[in-house]
Amino acid sequence: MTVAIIDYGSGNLRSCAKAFERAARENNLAIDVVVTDDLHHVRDASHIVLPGVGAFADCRAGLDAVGGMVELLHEQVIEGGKPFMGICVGMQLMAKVGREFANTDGLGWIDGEVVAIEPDDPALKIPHMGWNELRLDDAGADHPVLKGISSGDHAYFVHSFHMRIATPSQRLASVDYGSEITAIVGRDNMIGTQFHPEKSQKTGLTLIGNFLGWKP
Amino acid sequence: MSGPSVTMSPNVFAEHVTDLSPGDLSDIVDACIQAIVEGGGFGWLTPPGRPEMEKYWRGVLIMPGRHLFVSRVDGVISGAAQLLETPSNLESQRHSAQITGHFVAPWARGGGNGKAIVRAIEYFARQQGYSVLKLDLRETQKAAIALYHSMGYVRWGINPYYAMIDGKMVEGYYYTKKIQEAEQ
Repeated sequence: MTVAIIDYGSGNLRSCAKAFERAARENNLAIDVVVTDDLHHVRDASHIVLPGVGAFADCRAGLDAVGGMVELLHEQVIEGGKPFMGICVGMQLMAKVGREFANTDGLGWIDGEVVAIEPDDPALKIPHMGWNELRLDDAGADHPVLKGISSGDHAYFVHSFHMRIATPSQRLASVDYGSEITAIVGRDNMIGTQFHPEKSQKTGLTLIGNFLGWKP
Repeated sequence: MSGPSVTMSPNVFAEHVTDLSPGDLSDIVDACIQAIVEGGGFGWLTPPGRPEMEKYWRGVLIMPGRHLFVSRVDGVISGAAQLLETPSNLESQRHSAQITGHFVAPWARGGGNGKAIVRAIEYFARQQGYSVLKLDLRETQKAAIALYHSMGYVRWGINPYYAMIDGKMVEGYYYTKKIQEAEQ
């Protein structure tokens, strides 16, 4: 099996790749990790990961610039049912629309929009950067990818925008940062984390390990 | 790399590095930017662009008398500090060297990264014959203050006009530690 981490020019993917390699090793899973912009690799992979750092529109433009990738993702994830994980802006791209600087279409897989964080406490800094406590929603409490993760576990966030969900059952977890922030989304064979599982130590490795063993 | 690495746990260690691969360079820039934005102790208060920061780290590697130490989590650079040797014209102070530019990325804190870096520096400094290490910290660097205190660094002085942050004067604390008897 192979996990394909899609490289579309959105930042440094080394920590992401290393975390997936470690989670595979610790779970005794024979899974290769490739960081790639090659459609063939993505098509052949057993799991697909879409990371993302920066602005929503920039990431969408970067993804569009890899000719055929958006169509391939739709084919593999929506039609093919392949396990998919979006991370940070990669998770935000799963939404219908992003409103960072300009309205930009997302992949439209999750019924939500990506909007600026507006904490009710002006002392809270933007970006939301650091560790925060997850609060699992009902849909997340018995989700196989969140097995072994509980409310109160910490995850590492770096972001200024977040996804506001219109279909509550698609939100699996949130955190409190002066307002409710969507932390994990999912439906069917896809999951997305606003936080960085690759930098979230035990919580992140548990989630990645579960994802690699997931058979949705 | 030169010298032994200091391992804190199976996935966290620190080492002296003499070059940075392109991947390492990206990692150290990421870690440094996040530490700066979070307010966690580096010279910059706001991070410069990546090209400027990459130049800075390349510069660190080629400066005589300056040694770079990094911590890694699963091989990914998570923090760094530098050891500055004392110039030869300061003969009376050649027994001491200075730790500077110590930071740990916010995501890596609490895992022993900071301590691993200091241990690696101390080991290297002893090997080089230094008997005293010194450093200074902003009063706001609470985690670093606690770390160095726990590792036997003694605060010997305070500069009330050490730094200016958001228009406010911030104190600086000066620390020293004898790491071995002076060579005769």
